[in-house]
Amino acid sequence: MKLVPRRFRTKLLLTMVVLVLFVELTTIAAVLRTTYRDTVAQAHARLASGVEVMYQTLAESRAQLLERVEVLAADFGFRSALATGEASTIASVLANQAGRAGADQVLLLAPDGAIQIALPDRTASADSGMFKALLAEAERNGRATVRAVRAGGAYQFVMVPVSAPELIGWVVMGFELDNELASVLSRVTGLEVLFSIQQNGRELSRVSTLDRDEQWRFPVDRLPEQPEGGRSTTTLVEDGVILATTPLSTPSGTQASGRIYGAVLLEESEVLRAHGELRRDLIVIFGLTLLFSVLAAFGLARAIGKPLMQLAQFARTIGGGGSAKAPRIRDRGELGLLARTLENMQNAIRAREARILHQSRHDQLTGLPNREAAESYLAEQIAQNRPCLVLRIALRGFKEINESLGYAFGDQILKAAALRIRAATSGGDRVFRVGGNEFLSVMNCEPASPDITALEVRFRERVERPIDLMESPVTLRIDLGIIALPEQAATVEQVLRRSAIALDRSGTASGRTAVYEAGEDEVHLRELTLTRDLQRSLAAGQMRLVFQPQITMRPAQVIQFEALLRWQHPELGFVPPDEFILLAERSGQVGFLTEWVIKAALAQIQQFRKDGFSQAVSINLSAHDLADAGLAGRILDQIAQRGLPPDVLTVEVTESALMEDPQQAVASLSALEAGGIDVAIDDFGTGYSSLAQLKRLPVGELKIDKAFVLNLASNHEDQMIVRSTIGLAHTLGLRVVAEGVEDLKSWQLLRGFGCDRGQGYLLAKPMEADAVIPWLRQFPEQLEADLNAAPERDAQARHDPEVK
Amino acid sequence: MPMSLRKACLVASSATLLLVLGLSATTVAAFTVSVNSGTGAPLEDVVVSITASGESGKPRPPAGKAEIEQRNLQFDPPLLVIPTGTAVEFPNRDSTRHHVYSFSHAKTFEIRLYNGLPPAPIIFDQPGAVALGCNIHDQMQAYIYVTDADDWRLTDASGGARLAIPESVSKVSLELWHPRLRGDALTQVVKAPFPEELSFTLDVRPPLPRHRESGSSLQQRFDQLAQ
Repeated sequence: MKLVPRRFRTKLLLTMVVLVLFVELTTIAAVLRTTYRDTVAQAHARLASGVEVMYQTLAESRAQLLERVEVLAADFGFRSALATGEASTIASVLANQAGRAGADQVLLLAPDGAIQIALPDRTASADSGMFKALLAEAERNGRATVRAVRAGGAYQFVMVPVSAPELIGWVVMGFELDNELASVLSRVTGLEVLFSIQQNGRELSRVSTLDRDEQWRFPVDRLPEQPEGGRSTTTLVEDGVILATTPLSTPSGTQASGRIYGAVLLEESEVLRAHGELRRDLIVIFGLTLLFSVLAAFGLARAIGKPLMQLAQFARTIGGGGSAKAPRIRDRGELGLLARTLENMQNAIRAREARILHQSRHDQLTGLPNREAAESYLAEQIAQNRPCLVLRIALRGFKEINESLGYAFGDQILKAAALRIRAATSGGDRVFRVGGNEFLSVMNCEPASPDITALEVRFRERVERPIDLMESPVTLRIDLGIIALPEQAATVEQVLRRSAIALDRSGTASGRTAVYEAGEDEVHLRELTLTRDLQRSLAAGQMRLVFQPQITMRPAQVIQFEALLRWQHPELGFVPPDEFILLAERSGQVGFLTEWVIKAALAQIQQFRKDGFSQAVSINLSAHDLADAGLAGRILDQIAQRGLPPDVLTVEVTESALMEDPQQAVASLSALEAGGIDVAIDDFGTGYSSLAQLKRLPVGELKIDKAFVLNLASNHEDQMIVRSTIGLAHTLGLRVVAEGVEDLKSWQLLRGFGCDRGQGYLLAKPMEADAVIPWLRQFPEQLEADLNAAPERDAQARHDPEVK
Repeated sequence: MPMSLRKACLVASSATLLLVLGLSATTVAAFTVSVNSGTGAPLEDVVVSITASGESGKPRPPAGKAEIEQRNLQFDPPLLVIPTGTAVEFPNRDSTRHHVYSFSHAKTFEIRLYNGLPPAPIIFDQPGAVALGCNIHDQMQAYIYVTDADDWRLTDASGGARLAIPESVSKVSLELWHPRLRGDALTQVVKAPFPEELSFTLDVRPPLPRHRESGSSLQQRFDQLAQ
């Protein structure tokens, strides 16, 4: 969730950094480039002015030398010495004057230019071309100078006449362009100075302020030929040096005289030192700016991001349904607006939620809290263990009212009922509408436990008064189911279910009021479970048939078996047939049970016949089965498919089943009977069937209910009933079977009464299918003799729940 | 300076001419010498002297006295032609002292710093050119041409000089000299009949421009103060 602000921060940071980088780098690049150019240009300018200064300085120096030599040449002593004409005197005076002038070379020339003396040596006197030119100039100008190469060195030559007073000769003095001069020039120009002496395109030597190693580091001899008399300057940037060179030698037109170049130079590193410092400074500034901008971006992102995060948190809280205070945001701009909007939104949501909550927990028609509200209120009650009575109230006959008088009227009834019920409760009590015509009233009964009966009576009095509704007097009638908390229920679910159970029962209870009784819920739950599991029971193999034999009385022979359905529930264990058949009928599932029974019974019959027995099997049909018009046809079809005679199957029906829909029952039974299947009346004597009805039914057999047979031996009334029933049945042509024969005495009595067949524990308990054949095989040895014999004998019998 | 030099020469020439005319009235022949420099321009102040060779029927001009005064820091005249043995005075008419000297072979002398008239005149007893200078005033320069010749003239501004030859003379030795002449004086023997005109070309140095002395502003100011 922090993702959004962080991404925002990153974006902002990135933007700032990129911007700063761009601006800074371009600025720095521009500044550095400009300053570099500037620096180089300055260096060049410096060199150019250095060249100029060098040139001027040399010119000045030449003028000074000229003056100096002229003064010396005019010296009377010097002239006197020359006038002597003695070679040694002349040479020594020349040397002396040269020493005074600081000259490195001195020559004396005759007025016609012939070299007479040259000091310190005469080796270079061959270079007369240079002196001829000098002489020509001197005759023209009274003096002459030349800068030229002589004896491998660069010299400034100065020639002046010696007059005594007429011209008696020329003095030439040469001043070498030596290190000393270079140093002077270097001081004046502030640059390194170098003289390059070249002859015949070859560099003879260099004189420089630089060290000997340094001065040869870069080339000078690559200079292009300088134009004659020019003072052009070339610059060269190479090998870490910026060099400006200019020709110094006086143009003579002859290569042999050599050339002198003067150069001023700067170390590139020195030139660029300031630039380098600037660059370092800029980098530092750049770093600082970047750092500051990153910090600023962080700050800004925080300044914007923090409120955003707070708002996001706030919105999240609103979304989660929580309640929070809007974050304080000191911003009059968008963020502030967003905060205010979110706050307004929260308020709107709260209002809407409250409305929806109210609607969801209240019944629109009556304005009473609804089932949901009831549940939460009950949950509270239970949680706090508050004793109370829960009254579940149903308007009796409401469905009929709706149908006959219309739903609008029904609604009016509901409203009225709601008012009444509300009025019938006291202040702390609560009333809810929990269903179409059902209300729930929760009555606090602290501190004393109330008299339920009195309460009920008082409640009824207040509710069941006639109301005049749309000019029709209506009397409200209510059913009440009551449950006491906390004793009778521990959960809301239980409260609702158990109160409903009680209400259910109230319909049949006296006074239309039922108080929940312990265990009702469990029965109800068991029924729910069984009903639910019934469908699965067949597939899961939980259902099976057991067989109980019917034995003829004279002689005692096993003639038929009654197939009885058994359900072994995986959790509840053995389930009595009475219970689950009833549930199956209620839930409309009996049909598929019957189908299964028919199939299983027929399969068993086939097994009998395979094993050499021809006993028939009887099955029980319910009222629901009889109402199924297609059943007879299906049964007969199945018998036919298996290739069995129809008389192998008998169907048993109870009196009560017959009575539910006598017409359809008669039709179904007639169809069976017509197909050759015997029909027996089961549990005869317990119902209300009349003999007249029996007469009309296609019945061949009566089964006297075991209630009359179990105690037959000791009960004379039963004996009378049984005997007369047998007689009556025989009169009607019906066969009689006695159920519940559990002792030999009863057996003998029944035989004496002329009963046709017996069934009961005395003879055999219902047995599993695979036990039938073995039992049949051993039957003669065990029972036949006893049953056919007269002597009385008590059979110990247990009263197991048995048989339908 | 050229004006004063010319004037000086003119005076000297006139004096000599008068002397020559006075001594020999029997002048029968004369010819004109015209001299130009190497560049073709007429050369002034060339000393043209003649000597009748062999037959000296005519006396040599006597060695007398002459003077070159120093005035306004100049020698006057700047060029003096004298017969050998002439005594020359060097009167100083300036307020400053002068130190007149010569290193020339014809006469080497030196009159150290002096005022007024030196104690003794200098006698030029050998023929030849003598360059005079003042040791403390470099711009002061003068020439004395000492000669054994019978007669001499200086060329005028057009480079011409007219010379008379005595009747008895059949050939003369002609000599030309100029202060800026390169090398020795030019000599030539001219025989009768003498041509009306002789032309010569002398190889002369151009005058040396003076830098230090005349160019110096200090010197000029000093000169002004001195006058």
